[in-house]
Amino acid sequence: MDEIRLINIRESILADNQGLAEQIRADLSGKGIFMLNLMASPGAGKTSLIIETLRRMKNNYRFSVIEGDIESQVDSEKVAKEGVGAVQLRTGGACHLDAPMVKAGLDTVNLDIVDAVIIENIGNLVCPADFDLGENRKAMILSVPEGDDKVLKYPLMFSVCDALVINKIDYLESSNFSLETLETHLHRLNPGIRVFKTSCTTGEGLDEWCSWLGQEIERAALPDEG
Amino acid sequence: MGKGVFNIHELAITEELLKLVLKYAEENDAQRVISINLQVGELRDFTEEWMQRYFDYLSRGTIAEGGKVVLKTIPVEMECNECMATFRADIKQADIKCPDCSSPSCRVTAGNEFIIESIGVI
Repeated sequence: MDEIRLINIRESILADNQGLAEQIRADLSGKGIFMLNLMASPGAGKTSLIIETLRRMKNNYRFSVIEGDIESQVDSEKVAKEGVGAVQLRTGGACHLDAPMVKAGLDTVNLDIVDAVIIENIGNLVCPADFDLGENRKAMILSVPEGDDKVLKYPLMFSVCDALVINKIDYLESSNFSLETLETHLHRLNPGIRVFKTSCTTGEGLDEWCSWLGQEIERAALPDEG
Repeated sequence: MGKGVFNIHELAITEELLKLVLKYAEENDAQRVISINLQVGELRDFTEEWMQRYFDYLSRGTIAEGGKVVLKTIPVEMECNECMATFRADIKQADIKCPDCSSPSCRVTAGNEFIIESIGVI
């Protein structure tokens, strides 16, 4: 019988996706464009946050939105109503976006007239955490009704994000959600993460969020930064 | 993707894995792939059973058909921000403290891995 040979590889299982993501990042960086990968559970308020962000920032920056929500035109129509270009990705029922899907979406956008791209990822706290899309920053939303224990249940998602938006903060008083518990668990996994407390209903915290996003967009517009 | 009802996370990951396995097997003039050795951090929440099931399904008709997926789980390791002690911890537990100095201020240093270590071929 033939002898078994062991071939050492030591490569990321997602090397292919990673390679394309790096290429997307380099292409966008060359054009001074910022890209945000926004992730959350279904119903956490991704579309609402995007709409409120566009309302506050669209006069200062030219946005494009890539909508990954499963087989629906509803979200991209809401974005288009704000006068911002939106691309609806056809994901065929997938549970996450990957770099090839985002590349296909970006290819339909005239990037010469865009400062920032926001990707609305598919509503899911598991799979999107694994896939680099070529973004500059990853942000996630956790809404108060989801509970303060989600860091323990979805540790990878909370560990890969640069910013956490705690949305529906107007529900805080009527719930047993503890910000202190959440932040203790969160900083154990991800000490550098930025935390914003927002309500898309009352407008609370949205200016802080937009201010951070604006700084990130400005940073990406500088030569040789990203 | 595009495999209809199999649109689940592990399937997409396993497709990527199979691509890499076949690439390295062909580059090394392998006749068959016998084993696929992975290192996956505990935070990834992957199970060998599911990966094997999808691998069997996807690798049919390739030189990797019948290959055994061997998953080595890398446990979550934490470091205390106060006394710098390192220790293993169950991240799903709400109350984690440094075993040496009892500080609750700790951070994760391992458990995020997602690596194909090697393949066994003939």
